[in-house]
Amino acid sequence: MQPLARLIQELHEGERGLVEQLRRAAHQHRSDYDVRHGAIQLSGWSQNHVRRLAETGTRYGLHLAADVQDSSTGAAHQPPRKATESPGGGAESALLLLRDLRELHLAAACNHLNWEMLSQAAKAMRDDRLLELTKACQPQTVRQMLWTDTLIKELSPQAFSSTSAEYDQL
Amino acid sequence: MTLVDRIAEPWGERTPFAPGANWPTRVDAFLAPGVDASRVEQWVPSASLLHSNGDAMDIAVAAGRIVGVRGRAGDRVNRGRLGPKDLYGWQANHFSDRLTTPMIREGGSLVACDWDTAMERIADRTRQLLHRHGPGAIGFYTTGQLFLEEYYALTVLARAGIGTNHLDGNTRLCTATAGEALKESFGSDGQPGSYTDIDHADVIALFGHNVAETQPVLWMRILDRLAGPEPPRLLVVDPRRTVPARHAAVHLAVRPGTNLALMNALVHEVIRRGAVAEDFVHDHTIGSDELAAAVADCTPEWAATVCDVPAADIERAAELICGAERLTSTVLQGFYQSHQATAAAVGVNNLHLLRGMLGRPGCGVMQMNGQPTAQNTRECGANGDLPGFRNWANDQHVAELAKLWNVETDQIPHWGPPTHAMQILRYAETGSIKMLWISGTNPAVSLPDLHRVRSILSQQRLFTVVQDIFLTETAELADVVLPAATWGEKTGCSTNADRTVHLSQKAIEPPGMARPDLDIFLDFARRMDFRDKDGRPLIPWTDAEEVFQAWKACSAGRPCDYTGLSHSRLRQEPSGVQWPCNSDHPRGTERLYGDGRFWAQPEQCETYGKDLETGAAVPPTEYKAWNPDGKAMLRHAAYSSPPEEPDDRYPLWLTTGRTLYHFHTRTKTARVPQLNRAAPQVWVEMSPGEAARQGLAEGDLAEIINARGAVRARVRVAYVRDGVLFVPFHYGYFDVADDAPNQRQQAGRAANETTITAWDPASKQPLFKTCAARIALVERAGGDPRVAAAAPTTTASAPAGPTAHLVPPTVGGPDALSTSTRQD
Repeated sequence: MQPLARLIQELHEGERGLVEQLRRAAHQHRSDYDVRHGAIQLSGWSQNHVRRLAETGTRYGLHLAADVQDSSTGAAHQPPRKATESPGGGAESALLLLRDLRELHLAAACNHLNWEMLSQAAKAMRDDRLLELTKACQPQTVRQMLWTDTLIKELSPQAFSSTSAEYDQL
Repeated sequence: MTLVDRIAEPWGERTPFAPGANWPTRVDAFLAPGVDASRVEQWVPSASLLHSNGDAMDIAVAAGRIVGVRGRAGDRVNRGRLGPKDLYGWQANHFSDRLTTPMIREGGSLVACDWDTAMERIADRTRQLLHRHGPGAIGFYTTGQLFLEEYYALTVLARAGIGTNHLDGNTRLCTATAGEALKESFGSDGQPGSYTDIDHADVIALFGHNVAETQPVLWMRILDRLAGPEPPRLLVVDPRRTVPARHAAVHLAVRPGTNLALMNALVHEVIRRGAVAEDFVHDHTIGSDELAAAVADCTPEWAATVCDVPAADIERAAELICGAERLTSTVLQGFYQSHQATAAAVGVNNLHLLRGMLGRPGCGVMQMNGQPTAQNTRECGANGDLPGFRNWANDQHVAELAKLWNVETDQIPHWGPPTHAMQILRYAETGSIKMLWISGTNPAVSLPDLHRVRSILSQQRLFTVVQDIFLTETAELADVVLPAATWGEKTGCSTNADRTVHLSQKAIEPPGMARPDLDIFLDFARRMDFRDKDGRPLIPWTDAEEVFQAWKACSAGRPCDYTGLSHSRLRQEPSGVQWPCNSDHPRGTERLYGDGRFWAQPEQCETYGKDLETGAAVPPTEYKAWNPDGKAMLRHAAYSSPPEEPDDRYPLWLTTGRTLYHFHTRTKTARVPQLNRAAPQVWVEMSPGEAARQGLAEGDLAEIINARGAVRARVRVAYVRDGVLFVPFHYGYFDVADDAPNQRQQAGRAANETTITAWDPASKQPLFKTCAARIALVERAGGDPRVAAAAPTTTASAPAGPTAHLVPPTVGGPDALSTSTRQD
């Protein structure tokens, strides 16, 4: 397989993975509206990247799936959990959320770097259609990273300071 | 002088005027039945409380009681006029069930106590939480109805005293998008326009703004232009046929949740028709190419399918906007309380920037407020911003505050944006916030998804303080209840939606042991003994005037500069004064941005901006590279569908809103006979066609149901889009005999039993305008006109369809007769 085709395949895999991770996060953290709403929205962007990469892949002899099956049974649309379902478990779930956001960020960053490679390759090879694809998709990947970064910045202070039971002993 | 029933005729008689002419004076007054003007001992200057218009009024006092009110003839805002809530609302001050003593929870019930006991209980708990969990365990949720001085004291107390990041107000539900949209477009909060733009405009566009009911005096101003020579043409965007919609040249009754699609199409048309003010856009804005590319495909035909209105009507709206020489736009809850709220409100700013219509007479954007002092919460930073429109992400701005308050910079939380109200609630839900101090607001009725809200507020592990004037649904759930003084019983400043500052003066003593909110905050600060870094008291003030002086220093050099104002000057001024008011602008400032200069330079701006679709913060370095010269910003977002849409199970849109005769959760207006009689019970509006489809008729008792809850209301067949239910959000439970508050989730009276936990990613304003529901008959009215829905006939809820003529008209009766006196 050509190195470029391999890169497209790898990026396709990465975007598929991000769709699944975002859907899982939307379900897992559905009581945190910013997370639920953002994750659903951003998974749509990656789903679109998957579709466009699959289309492009045919030009390079690839047969990639255009859709990511939703295995979460539409869980993102289920009603949020009630407060009483996690008595005292709030601190733990806040830390879990931060961990998931970190993983989402890393997945998006990996995709971002793959887009970067693809964009540079397209320029060097004067492949206008491929360059067009990277111009359409890569900015959204950057916005996905800014989203996770923003949430981590906002949620970390409370998650960590509230779990320190004896604040004045810090 | 004429006698007018201002319940039956909410806007009174017309005083027409020509474009650019002075709006004639008409002094409205109402004295309690049986009180003669000669008995009034004193007229005490104040400003209106039960909306955001800031109407100047004088309070009539006799024998230590309020006996009436009168509009102030010389004021720029109202020229003597008052709305129905101003005329009658003051009677709530003297209602018999005012809170008159503090209360603490003992053995499960609230018992009266003295101030020392209540305040020590709060201070004890605060000290304990600070010691064990730190400042992040304490949150404050305030309102848009206190005075400027009270907000500033609360802000210093919370940010520098406690050092918590958790301070926000119910302004999050009402005005957060206004502030965010202004920041995103112009770099900083601050209303560009002025009410006097109405006097000059040739086109007035109302975007999701039912001005006739939310700001009746502003609507009188528009009505008087409409009745005069060369009247302006109106564009109204609203799914209901509101009173302004009946006067509109173009009314777009868009499908709920599609505002941004419409705005993108209007921007598309302004560009396509060549109506862009190229020089202005080139010199004073950035982002025009990106905006044009983003809306390239947003044709009226496309928007017509999304919004479900004829493409020809969108074209006509575009014609109005493109043909306008003096365009004035206002925006309110129809936009703010929908998803993609900030993006849609920014779309209105974009229209004005593209057309170069800003800062000149008749060319104003007004991102409106709902509450009388929402503007002050924003200025003073009691709303999830820093005081003086400072930028939490700008270390220099935080250092300025630290210097002003003489505290270490790290004492002021600035590691992230201040926590917004819905996230404060979430932290309380998950247990990391352990104390919530609620002042002047009633979240147990006004927040969305009430079952969840009640379950959070009633947690044992959450210590709640509620400071209010009546025992609200929220106060019933509190651990400590503090009785507050209200309007007329305390002194302080209020700033309206067009930056006009008024001083509201104390006219009478508060009842019993009730105290001004400021005194309560200052008492708490003294007990906590907050100190600055030199060991001096952090909050040394003893009255409102001293706080105002401190606030002036905080506002100096910022867009909301108050340095030219003082209580004594405001006492002497015949009219309110618009900020900025300083040595450069000693008479105040009518319009902002006339010089094409904005507060958007990286070192001055209030925010570096957000991604309007995701809410992600724009990194400071990116902002500095993008907008080094501080130009106005043309931002954009793509339309997406709302988080909840009708489906097979819940096939109807449910939208909530307000009526002219009530304010918020009726804490005051339900206790005013003239107002309450006009709208005593909750109702649900549906179109004649929809009513027929659902097998429902006027007056039928119906249940509105979805996965979160249910509301019972009588049907008003009215002028609203097919497929849409409208329920007013004002009604709660304090005036119905019922079970304990926790049992109230099924078939309730509060519209928010059914609304969704969801918000705009940029402004964090919750969605009260779009969710899905179904409706089912509970009990037939059987065509009996006596059980018609108790909805006003004078407003957007006017009856429609074959039974409309059977519905008795809304009248006030003998005790609602007010006087109107023209002074030409």
